Amino acid sequence: MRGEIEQQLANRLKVLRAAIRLKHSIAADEELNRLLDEEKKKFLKQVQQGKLPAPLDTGKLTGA
Amino acid sequence: MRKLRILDFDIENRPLSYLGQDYTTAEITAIAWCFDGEPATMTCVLLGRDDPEQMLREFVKRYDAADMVTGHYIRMHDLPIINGALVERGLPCLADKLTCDTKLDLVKKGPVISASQENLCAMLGLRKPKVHMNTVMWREANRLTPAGLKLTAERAIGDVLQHMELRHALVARDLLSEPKTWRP
Repeated sequence: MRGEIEQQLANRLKVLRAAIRLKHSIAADEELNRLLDEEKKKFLKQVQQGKLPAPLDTGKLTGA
Repeated sequence: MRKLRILDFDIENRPLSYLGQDYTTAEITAIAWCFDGEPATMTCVLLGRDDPEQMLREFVKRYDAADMVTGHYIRMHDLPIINGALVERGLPCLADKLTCDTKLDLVKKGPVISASQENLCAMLGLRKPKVHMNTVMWREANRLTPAGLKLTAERAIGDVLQHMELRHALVARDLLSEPKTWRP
């Protein structure tokens, strides 16, 4: 069984972990909402022009 | 980048029987089609000259080969009528297909401009003319006389030629919303 101090530390780290994940998740959602909408418009504009764009390169996108 | 094959098409139809009140059922009298950027593929099949079932089969071949089909009001008029004709003859229904309908996909415009193909072309200053038909000409056409068949073919091909120019102009001006999948 954990002592009070150990429990307090565990709780603190858990809250911090959740907060950081949430912060990045919200930022990711905002970026995704913007990027996906732009990409959809660009893609469909190309289709209207009779062109099917080449698939995206995941490596290039992530800078790997 | 892959080039997509876009099939531009139009049908002509005549009333065949009364449904009730003044409503009538439709019978296809012509289908004209052409792949965008491939003028040699322009074709027009005609009731009274061609076998009705073969007309449908020839169209379906091109429809299936297309990545997208386009026309004016096709999702509400041409495609349902073609599908109905297929059903009537016991042929398979059209497959789901990506469509660009230059009437239904036009940006919101309110009661400011007319969305007819002819008026849109005039507004955009396009050159391809509308092949006009008056009632006398339509009656001749729908009687499937030799002269009537010629009128129908000119009208259907003229509409496809004009529509190809119209769609290009609308795309260039960003006046069309995204293509939509049509399901029979």
